[in-house]
Parts: sequence; C-alpha cells; structure tokens
Amino acid sequence: MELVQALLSGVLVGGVYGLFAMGFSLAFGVMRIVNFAHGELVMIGMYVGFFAFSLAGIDPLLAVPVALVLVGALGAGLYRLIYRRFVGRATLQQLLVAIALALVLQTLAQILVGPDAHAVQSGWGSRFLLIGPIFLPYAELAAFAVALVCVVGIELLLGRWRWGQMIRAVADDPEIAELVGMNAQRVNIVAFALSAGLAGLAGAVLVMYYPVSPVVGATLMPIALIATVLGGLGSIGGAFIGGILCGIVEQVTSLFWNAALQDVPLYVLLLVIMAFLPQGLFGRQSAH
Amino acid sequence: MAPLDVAARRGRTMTAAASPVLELSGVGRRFGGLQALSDVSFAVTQGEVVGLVGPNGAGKSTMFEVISGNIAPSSGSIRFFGKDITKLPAFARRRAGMARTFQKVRLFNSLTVEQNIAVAAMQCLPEPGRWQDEVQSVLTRMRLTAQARRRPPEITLADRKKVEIGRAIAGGCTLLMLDESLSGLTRDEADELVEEILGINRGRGLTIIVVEHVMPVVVAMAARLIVLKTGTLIADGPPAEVARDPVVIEAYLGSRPHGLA
Amino acid sequence: MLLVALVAAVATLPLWPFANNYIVALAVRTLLFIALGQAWNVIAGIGGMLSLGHGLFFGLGAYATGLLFNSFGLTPWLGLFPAMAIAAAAGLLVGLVTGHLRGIYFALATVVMSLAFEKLARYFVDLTGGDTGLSVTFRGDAPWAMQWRGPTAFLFLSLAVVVIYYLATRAILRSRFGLELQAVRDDEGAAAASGVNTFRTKLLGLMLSAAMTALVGTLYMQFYLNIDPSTAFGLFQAIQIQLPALIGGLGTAGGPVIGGALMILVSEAANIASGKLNLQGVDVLIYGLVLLLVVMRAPLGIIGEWHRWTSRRAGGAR
Repeated sequence: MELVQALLSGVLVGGVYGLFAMGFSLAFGVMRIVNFAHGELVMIGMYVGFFAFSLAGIDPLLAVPVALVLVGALGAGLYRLIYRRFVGRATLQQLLVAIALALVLQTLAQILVGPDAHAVQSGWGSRFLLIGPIFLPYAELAAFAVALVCVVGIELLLGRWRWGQMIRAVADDPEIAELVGMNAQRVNIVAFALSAGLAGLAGAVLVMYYPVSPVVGATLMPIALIATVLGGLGSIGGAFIGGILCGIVEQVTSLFWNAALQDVPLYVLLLVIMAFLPQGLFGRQSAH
Repeated sequence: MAPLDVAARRGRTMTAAASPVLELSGVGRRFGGLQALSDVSFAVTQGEVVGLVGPNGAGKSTMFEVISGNIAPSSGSIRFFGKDITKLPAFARRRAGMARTFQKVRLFNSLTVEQNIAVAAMQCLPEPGRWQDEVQSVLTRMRLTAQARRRPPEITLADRKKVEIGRAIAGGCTLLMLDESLSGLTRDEADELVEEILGINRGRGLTIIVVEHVMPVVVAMAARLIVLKTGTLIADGPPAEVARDPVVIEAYLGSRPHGLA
Repeated sequence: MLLVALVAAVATLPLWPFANNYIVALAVRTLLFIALGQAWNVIAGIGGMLSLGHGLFFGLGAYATGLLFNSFGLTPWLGLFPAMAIAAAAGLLVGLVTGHLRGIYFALATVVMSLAFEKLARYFVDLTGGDTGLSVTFRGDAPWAMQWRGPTAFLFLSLAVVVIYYLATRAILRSRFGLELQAVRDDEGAAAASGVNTFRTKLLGLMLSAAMTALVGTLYMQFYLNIDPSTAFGLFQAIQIQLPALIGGLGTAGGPVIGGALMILVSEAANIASGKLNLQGVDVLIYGLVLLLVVMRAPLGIIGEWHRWTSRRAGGAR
C-alpha cells in the first residue's frame, strides 16, 4: 500500500515537474536556448497566483490563465530585449546571460516582496481525496489535471496550429524556414512566449500547494533540468514523462531510503542515461 | 572545362608487385534500413592516384569515413600495409600514416597556420626537433611560408585548402585521402593545387585517393577510377576503360559521364 | 615588465598607507577568485569543455584538506597533495562518464554531479558537518598548520598561486599539450584526423584543471576555516567559477586575472552602493545587471574584444 501511495504521489508531483520542464525544453528545442532563468519565470507565476488570492481573493486555479498570459507577455519582452541576440551564438555566453538574468529576477523579487516564503491559504492545501488508506491532496490532483491538459494541448498546438507548424519548421532548420518565407524571429518570439507562459502556468498551479519565495525557482531548477534531459532536450512530451519519472523516483526513494537523499538516485539515473543515450529517452538525433 | 594535358600530369601507376597500401575486403555499412555500402573490395598499391567517383549518394563520403576510422564498418575488414586496422580508432590510423581532408575545410581556427600543421606533425614525430623541421619543410613545400603566422580566417580559401593538405601530409603520411579539395577554387587555383598534389605524389611516393565531383579534375589526376553506385562498386580501372563501361554510363543516367575522355 | 610591477604592487599591499586587514583580506578574496578562474580556464577556455561542475573539485579540495587535518592532524602543506590527487581522480571519473558529451550536454552532466555531491555533503553530517559545514580547528598563528591570525601571509600564498597559474597557462598555451587541447576545442573531428588522441587529451586536461581547482580549495579552507555544502558544490559556485575567464577573455592567460579583479571590484562597489541606499539585495542586483551588460556588449570578454578592436583598426588603416 505504501508503495502504491508513493507511486501515485510521485506521478502527481511529477506532473508538475513535467509542466516545469516542458516550457524549458520548448525553448531549447526551437531556439537552442538553455534558459536558466526558466525557474525564475515559474517563481513569477507563483507570485501571480499568490497575489491574485491574497489581494483579490481569486482562487489560485482561476489565476492560472492570468499567469499564463502575464508571464508569456513578459517572456516575449525578455526575448525582444535579451535572448534574441543569443540565438545561434556560442553556448557559453547564452548560458551566462540566462544565469545573469535569473540572478537579476531573483534579487528583484527579493527587493520587491522580501525574502520570506509565503503559502496560499486558500483551503486547497487542506483537502484530500481518500481512497482506502491512500490519500491524495486535491491541490495535487488539480495541478496534475492542468499539467495533463497542457501537454496534450501543446502537442496538438504544435501539430495542428499554423504557428505551431511554423515553430516546428524553425526548430528543424531555421535557415530553410527563412528560405520558404517564414520570419524566424517572429516565430521565435511566439515560441519563447509560449515557453515562458508555460512557466507562469506551472507556477500558478504549483502555488496551490507549495510555498513561494524568491529562490523557489532556483530550488526547483535542478529537477526541471533532470526531467528535461531524461526526456530528451527539446522534446515536449519527453519532458513531461521525464518529470513524472523524477516524481516517482523521488517518492519511492524517500519511502525506501531517505527523504533527504530523494534526489540522489535521480542524479545517478541521469548520468547513466547521458552515458548511454545522450539524446535522452525521447530526444531525436540532433540535426546540427 | 578545357582539357588538361592528361598524360603528362597523371600520377604514376605502380603496377609492380608491391604489397597493397590499402586493402578493403567485403566492406559494408548499414544505417538503420539504409545499406550505404555493400560488399566493397579493392586494393590500392603504393604510389597510385585513385579517383573515387559516383553519383550523389553513391557512398563516397561513407567510404572515406569508414577508411579513416570515423565510422565502423558493419561487415568486412580493412588492411593497411597488410595490418588489420578495422578496429583502430581514427587518431591511431592517422599516426600510422593515413591522412585525410574534409569536404568543407576544417582547420583549427584559433591556431596559426604553422600551429595547425604542427599539431599533426608532432603526433607522428614526437621529438621536438624533428617535428619542427617537418613543419618548416611542409610550409615550404605547400608555399605557405608567408602565411605561417596567420590564422585560417585571415587567409584565402585556396590557402586554407593548402593548409589542410599540408596538415594531412605532415609527419610522414603514406596514404592521402582528398575529399573535394578542389571544389570552390578558381580554375587557376585548382590547377596550381593539382600540380602541388601530384608533386607530393612524385616527391614522397605518396598514395592518393581523391573524391571529386568535377570529372576532368579527377581524370587529370588519377590513373585509375573506382566507381560507386548506391553503395556498390560497379567499375574499377583506367579512366578511358571505365568511361566505356556500359554499367557506368547507365549509372550516370544514360549519358556519357561528363568530361570523361 | 607590467607583470612584475603588478605582482610587486600586490605583494607590498600591506605596507601601503590606506591598507588595513579588510583591504588585504579583500585582495586575498580576489586572488582566490582569480585562481579558481585560471584553473577552470585550462579545460573550459583552452580545451573548450564547458564544465559547470568545477565546484566539485573545489569542494573536494577544501573538504579533503580539512578532514585530513581534523582527523589525522595532517598539515595542509602536505594535505594539499592528497587533496589535489583526489580531485584529479574525480576529474578522471567525470571525464570517463561524460567525456563523450559535447557543449551543453557536458555542462549539464557536470553540474548534476556537483549538485549530487551537495546533497551527499548535507546528508553525511558526521563526516562533513552537514548544512553548517566543516570547520578547521583554529590554532592561532601556526605556520605549520597553514594558519595565521592576519590575512597577510595568505596574500603572499594566494599571490604565488595566481602567478604560478598565470605562467603555467602561458606555458600550456605554447606547449604540445596546449596545442592539442586547442585543436580539440576548435574541431574535435579534425583533431582526431590529425592524429590527436582526443579523449585522452580531454581527460588529462580535466584532471589537471581539477587538481588546480582543488589547490584553491585548500587555500580557501585555511583562509576561511569553514566550508559548507552550497559554497563548495552549489549552483552559485558553479557559475561563479566561470566568471573570471568569461569576463576577462576565455582561453587567454591574462583573461581570468582581469576578469576576476573586475568582478570583485564591481561586487565591492555594488556593496558600498547598497549600504548607502540602505536596501538589501541591491548589491546582487547591480552585480547581475553588470554581468548581463558585459555578456551582451562584450561577448568575447575584455581581451577578446580588445583583440577584435585592434585588429579592426589595423584592418582599417591598411
């Protein structure tokens, strides 16, 4: 029974990791941007949910679309201002600029709202679904549901939507996409806004049961990184499944070994995957 | 393309009974469902200049990668001076005397021309004095002395190609594989480079395999052609003979291979 | 000439009229920062392997020296050798597991290893002291234990390391090994086609860089007398180590020196500004903004941009 509980909790928590990782993976898949500031965008999404509730009394679940739009717009702005210059440039500078931006966003949050952690007292955190001895928090169920909707939605969007197809074309080969008349820069803005919007959305969902603080993005970033690389950098569905895998490994580790070391098997798993399958579980062979 | 003075410029053909420099037997390579090379066998003797030709997708590049050790063959074996090197990594083949150039010039862009050549020379001639002498002799041979201290992005394409060939022959190379070393050059530059290459062939007794799209150039250099089509060897012999081969004519879409005599 | 003047200026710092312990300690901090950058520069700048996991080697150096001293009374003067050897062995392992990865994949794999060590160091409290970190017993002025009350002795020590690392970098750049490393960085395939054993070259570079990093860890441990898991293995440290070389000029001997000094200067100025404004966190904000600006405006680093500027001027004059 304990194992079933651990597995189910793992899947639920992992769904949100997956949501976190999906946006990160999208930015890499399309623009080869490793956006280390993705965690900070999640943090901003969490504050959107937090303030929507504490200032206006809006239920965190209803604040999810607001966070999607707001953080998505912020992402578009950041792309125009900063990331645009680093598409196709050396990894190192690109990495560093994202890290510097993460530092700036984190400190800005610290200055504006203070360094303390806040939890949303909306009642979401205290209700559980009990099935026999198994208990599942409603907040985690709702978060997982949103994550599931998102992964299906994004896959459909990239498959059917006109912009989605353009995004995939640019991801495959920006030069050819330009040759057939697409404006790669505009497609990139849309893709980056989508990636940031997903981060905001993940944040708003997460804040239903996880306290927000300026450093929360940096705290969660390693897991998102691992989920993304496990699934295959650039693969959206892979990132989601990678997230669920991370959640399960964490929960099972804390059950059988030690909660403080719940991430260690993940690191080992990641190294094994990277040693034998550098493209991750679902990554396509890179064309470049 | 004006005809070149073929007979005078062709490399030597050593038909004497020397043991083969390179010997492929039954080499095949499969990528998933695609058979890029199947059951290719041929031998090259010392001092020969062999042209490797074939339509696009014939497997010429795969062949180069397999011989130089970047891609392992799925079947068959490769011998170099009688020694089985099928499992030898690329760098060890280079140290054993097998060198190559790349279709798109690949130099070390932050190193000087001199250092580019030195990197290769010092692998084969570890004693400092010897490789330093070798670098100077290669620079002179390739007429690059004036460019020695410059970096690849600062020199012309023709010079970059010369550096790449210089890097390949440095340190006692015995088999040189040239992957479209003449493409992108002007007529004069190409002529000069062909002269240079054949000079090395004669001077150092170097065995050369060339992949080239421009047929007259291959014919000008090579005394023997090996023709590949969809991964299979379909002809092997002197250019004039190969040009009359109906299978080869068929392979080139029914027309006579452009430029073949 | 310039080099000698600079070294003399730093070495005589304690004698200058405005000098106090704070300034000398700041100089030590700067020199240690520079030395870390120099060590990272060997594999990342010259060899092109963008390690984000050098915190691992730094932490191993610091923890190993501290543990050997606390448990066995081994003086750090000798303890630095096993510390460097352990780090080199770790570098070998890291290289064996991740050496085939390129660019961002290598960066991610190495940072993950460092973060795993952070978790382990927090967990094995008996050995490492857990979250609060490992402290070295302070013996007062005890040169045999590499400990002094004031920072002056550390100034000489860390200055010596920076000078040695600077000269070593210059020697490596011109050596056979350095040429091979640079060839691998520029084009790994072409390097192999030129006879370079690329994997071995990368492993050796990583081991050398790891050992150099561990030595700085030893000095850090003796100077601050404490190391904690996030200072050693954390993400912030992983990033900090890259800054001197990146800002100053990747793969150059002078780059880490200029970049390290500049970043500490910026951080100090930001610190003072934040004190004047009486707003906590402003210093980090300014630091981050300067970093952002430098990377956006001078992506080649100071030395790289200088070369580009001078060669453009030379090209225009011709």
